[in-house]
Amino acid sequence: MIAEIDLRYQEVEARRQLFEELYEQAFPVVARLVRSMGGTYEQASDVFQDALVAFYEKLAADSLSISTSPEQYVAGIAKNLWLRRCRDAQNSVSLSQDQSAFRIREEKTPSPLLKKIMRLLESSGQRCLDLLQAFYFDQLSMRELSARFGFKSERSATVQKFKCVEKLRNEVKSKMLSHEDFLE
Amino acid sequence: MNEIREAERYLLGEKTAPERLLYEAKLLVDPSGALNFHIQKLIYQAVRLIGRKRLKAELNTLQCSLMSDPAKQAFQQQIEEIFREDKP
Repeated sequence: MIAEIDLRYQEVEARRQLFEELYEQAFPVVARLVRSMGGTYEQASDVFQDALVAFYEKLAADSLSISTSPEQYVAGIAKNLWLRRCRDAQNSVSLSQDQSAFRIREEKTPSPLLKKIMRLLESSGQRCLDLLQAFYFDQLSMRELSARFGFKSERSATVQKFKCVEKLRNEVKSKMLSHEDFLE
Repeated sequence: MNEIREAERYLLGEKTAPERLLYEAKLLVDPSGALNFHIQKLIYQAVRLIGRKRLKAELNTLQCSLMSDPAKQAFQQQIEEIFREDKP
């Protein structure tokens, strides 16, 4: 059992360690469930990875709201996702198996416009994207962000973050205004 | 910069209810500001989706290494056993 989450989980090595433990403890449970319902190794892996991503986001946003152990939490989310996918596919799984404590919102497929913006962000300067990801996805504090990206102060990190948003906003806007197909 | 900061406070839920109403009213009469706000919101969504995509790729790599690391044989056998063809 994972007794305590290393609070540096947003750092690559600590995160790898945490995920490795979760794989060893929770993946077999999820794999057994998926297999018992006719699923494949690939489907079990996909659902388990989605559950780990959801767990990571929950940890980053509000770690205190997780009341069970990390492995129980991840297995719960994965089971719930799997049952929901089965239900969507065949509409026959009992609703009572759905445990509301582990319910997460599954995102819809991104719109074509959002996909284009993702591609633009990925091709327009790694440092800005890394910086924005560290703040808006990993939810590092400005202090952690300054240390990771080598800013002299939290203030200069904040300024740089907003400059990145502004630069990307202007790029998206100019694409929107100059290429009609960008909006399609 | 202030426009971006203000939109961020709205998007991250840092504004009070009256501040939100005031901000929404301001956007109603400012089409250019409303477009900027909309794009900023899309950028934040895109960054989160990219974060998920990158994390999932990281997990895929980790799973591949766990399934091939000689030190993790017990784990590998456990998973292989679950997915053996002759099992239901």
